[in-house]
This record gives sequence, C-alpha cells and structure tokens, in this order.
Amino acid sequence: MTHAAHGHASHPTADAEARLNPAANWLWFAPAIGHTSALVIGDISPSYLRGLSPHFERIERIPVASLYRAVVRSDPRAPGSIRFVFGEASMDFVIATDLVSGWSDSGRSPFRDPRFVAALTDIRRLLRPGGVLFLSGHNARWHRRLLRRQGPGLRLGEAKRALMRAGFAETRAYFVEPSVGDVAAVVPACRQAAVAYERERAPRHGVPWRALWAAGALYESLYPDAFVLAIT
Amino acid sequence: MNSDFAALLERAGLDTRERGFWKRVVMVDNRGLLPAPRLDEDDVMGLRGFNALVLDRNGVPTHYCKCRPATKEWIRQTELWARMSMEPALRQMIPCAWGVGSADVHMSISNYVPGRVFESTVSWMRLAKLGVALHEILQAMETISQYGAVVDPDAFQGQTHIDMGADVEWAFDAIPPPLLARDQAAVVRDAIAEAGIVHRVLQHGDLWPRNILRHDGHWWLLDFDTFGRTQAPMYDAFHLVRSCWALRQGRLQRVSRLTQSPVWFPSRLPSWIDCLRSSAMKQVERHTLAWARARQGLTRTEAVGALAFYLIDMAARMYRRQLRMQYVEPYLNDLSALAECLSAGETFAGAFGDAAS
Repeated sequence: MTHAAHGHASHPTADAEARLNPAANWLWFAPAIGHTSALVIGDISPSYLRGLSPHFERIERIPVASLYRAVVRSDPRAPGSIRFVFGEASMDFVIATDLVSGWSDSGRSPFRDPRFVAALTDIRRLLRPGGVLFLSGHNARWHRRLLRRQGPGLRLGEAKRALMRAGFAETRAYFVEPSVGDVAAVVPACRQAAVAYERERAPRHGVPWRALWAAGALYESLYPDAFVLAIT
Repeated sequence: MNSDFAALLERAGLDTRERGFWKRVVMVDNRGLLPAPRLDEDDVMGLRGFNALVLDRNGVPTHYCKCRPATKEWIRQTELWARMSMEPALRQMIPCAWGVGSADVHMSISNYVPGRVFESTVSWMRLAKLGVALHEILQAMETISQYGAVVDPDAFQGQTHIDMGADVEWAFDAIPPPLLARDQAAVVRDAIAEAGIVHRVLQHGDLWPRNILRHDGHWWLLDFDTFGRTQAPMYDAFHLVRSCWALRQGRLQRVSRLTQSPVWFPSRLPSWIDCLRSSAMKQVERHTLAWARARQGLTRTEAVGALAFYLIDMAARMYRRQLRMQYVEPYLNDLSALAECLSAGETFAGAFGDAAS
C-alpha cells in the first residue's frame, strides 16, 4: 500500500490496468535487451500482449503453424520462413507461450523432435546478439505428478539441452506459480530457491509441507507453469 | 528496462555479475506491470510492481526488494524508511533499508530479517503471552512513531492536532450507500465528529501479525510503505488487536474445516464490534485497547471516534483498491455493528476502560 491523497476518487481504470496479467514482469529477469522489436509466436492473451507493449516499439506476430511449415520445408529463403519474413538478427525478443503445447498433437515431447530444434535454431538466428527467447508452458512434472497427465508440457532439462543445441549461449529456467488475485511468483528452477520461496510463504499459507517437499528434491513438482529464458 | 533491475541491484550493493546470481533471485509477489503506463499518486499505483527475495550462495535470504513505480510518494516513503532504519534506537526494530531508483522503477531494499512471523504463532499463543506481546509491539511502534516524527518533521505538516472528521470525510464518499446504509454512516460520522480534534500520532498503517517478526529476542516491524499516512491515534492498536482476534477466530474455522464439522463453529466470523462490547471478548484484547487509550491520553469518546475512524478508513481503502469483497465485508459488518451499538447508547466502557467521556 502506499500513501493515498485523501479525496481521490475511485480509479477503476487504473486498477484494471494494475491487474493486467503481470506476467510481463518476468522480463525484468532477462538480461539487458533492446527495446526495438519483439516477435510473438503463437497465441498470447490480450492482457499479456498489452503487458509487452510498453517494452517494445514494434511487436510482430506469427502463428505456430507457419513456423512449423517453414521448418518442414527446410528452406530459410522460402516465403513463410520466419527468417525470410523478418530477416536474421532482426528481433530483440521472441516470446512463445504456446509453442511447446502447439507444436505437435502427438503428445510426444517436442524437444525430441529434430524439427523443433531446427525451429529453435531459426528463432535464435532471428535474434540480435544478446537477444532473448522466452519459452513458456505447463510444467510437465507438475502435471504428470498432480494430474497424472502426460502431455507436451515443458520439461526444463530437455528444454535447456535443446536450446543449447540450437545455439543459445545461456539459459535460465524458472517455475511460475499463479495464485489467487492474479499474483504470480517466479522461482528459479533450483532446489535452494524453491526451498527459500516455500519457507518465505509458509507462515501465511500454512503449507509447511511444501517447504519439506522442496527440500526433499521434489521442488520440480511444486509449480504448475515454467519458462526458460534463452539468451543468444 | 531489464537492465534497470540488474543496475538497481548493482547500485544497491549486490554483484549481479557473479556466476549463478540470477538463480538466487526469487520474484515473490508479482502484482502488476512495470513500468506503469502512467504514474498516479494513489493506493492502486502503490500496489504495482513486484517484490524479490535475494539469496546468498547457500540459499539463505539476505535481502528483500520492493520494486514499484517511481511515484513521488513511494520515493518519499522509501527514503523515510531508510533514514528511520539508520536511527541507532530503531536498529533492532526496523530492518536496515535503503532505496535506489531509475526512471521506471524505484526499489526499496532491506536486509532480510529471518525471525518468526507473528502471524504463525498468534493463533495458538497463550493469552497472557499474547497480552505481553501486544503491549511490547505497540510500545515498539510508539518508539518508531516518535523517531519518525523527528526524522521527518514535515510529516505533521506543521499541525500537532488532527480533526479526524475532516480527515476521513473522503472515506464516506468512497463507500457507496448499498454497502453502508446512510443512517449508519451518519451515526459513524457523528461519533468521529464528537471525538473532535485530537493530537496527531504517526501510525504504521498496516500493523498486523504478518508485518511483525520475532527475532533475536526483539520484535521487528516490517512494511513501512504506508507509515505516517494515517495520523489518527490508536489506528495501529485497533488494527493489531482486530487482526489478532480474526486470526484466533480463524483458528477455530481451520479446525472446523479439518474436522469437517461446520456445525461446531460458524463459517462466518462474528462481528469484532459485537465481541468488543460483550464478555466474549478476551480480557487481554480489552486490556490492550484500554491500555493503548490510556497511553494516548484519549477520553472514551475520543477512543470511540478513533475506532470509527479506523473502521471507515480501512474499509474505504480496501474498497477503493478493489479488493475482493470477502476482505472488505468484515469491516463493513463492523461498521454496521458499531453504528447499531452507538444508536443503542453503547459507551464501550468495557472495551476502553472507565475513563470519563
């Protein structure tokens, strides 16, 4: 809370803006990147898109299917190829929130698909030096353990290895916890961070078992969503 | 933008280029986009941004950061907190804090105090121990308030007294009539007006058990985001006693959820005001309020006015921030109950002691 000027009228518009999906704050965890252009691959929620807009002068969009088709054709000069459309080293930031789930309906992990790694390589070439790919999805371990559901979720280990194979210089993996009131926590994907976060929240939520779970190396199953920042 | 956070952390004294540093930064409270499209000096703007926990190489938290839009009020507040935390007398009450900023964001960073959150113990404390704790916490807050007035002489804006009625008039406009009936609002307004003009005291503004830690034999108070915003006496005492009461009531609800026996315990909390005037209110809570009233040198009428001020102010701020009604409703219920009690001639002598009105 902050000091309020007494007498201020109610400000629903400002509040509605404040309640925008704060996912774009994850950008603050990325290293310094340019502000010129960003590319959104696939679907993205309107509020999320609005969240990106203060950060970039230009935001382009392409569907996952066109990326898939371009990779299948294996011709970077072909119309439809993202490198043909946008040019190499043309983007500061690429964001893909449904690329992993939308790549294939086979239920198989896309990271085992060489064409997916080829697509990641294409994306890497689109990025300027120091540019960042934001790749997010459901945390496969959380879904498998809690919902007993296999699917093309984000397996952080596989994702990091695939991104390194695609030529990215550095990867940073995070878990995401949406919460009531649109609050999200972003926890680095390592045990120490998960334990510290769970201990920090335990007194208010009364769930010390989660801290124990995190300490017991099951931290990867605690959070429903995940993302990787891949840096060129 | 992104470089700003790293730059802010660097300026705050952390080495972000250290290998693996970004594995040790946890975003714990992410509540609205930064940078803000525009800066408004209001409650909602102060909720934007995120908090981050910084860990050392062993995973032990060392710093707590709050990143908010760079509003004048937030910058002023962080600077005040920083100056207060440097006061030798407050060094074991307030975590050492400092602030750094950029065009888009201003960050308050403080040393992490490990300790045990009062919230985690208050539900199960013995009454005698709770009474001692409440007195010690309010005394600590009193000390902080006194030093706050010294560190920031402008906080009172040259006025030693506050007209509570005028100060809280905005809150009556903020709550629409369906939520607080006009006749009830009138009774509450009259009670505040009857209290008249009282001396100003800087209040924490959000003194409840989650913002209180026990560490190394001392009570540590956290979250000075709204310190000094409210200057009506006893505001913190009411908020602390009321939130402790609610947590202890909630304990019964948690038990009832665990035992699946809603018949034993009501699913809704009873009104705090009803408890305050009845013998159901524990002695320790009454004693604390009577003690706080005496320390502030208020008459019973002034204390009742301060109680009405607290309830309407808190309800209006929560409503204005568009919090879910489940959080606002208990305060509205208390306001209605207070209005009914006052209409029925209740003096709250039991709650505030027998000081002459």
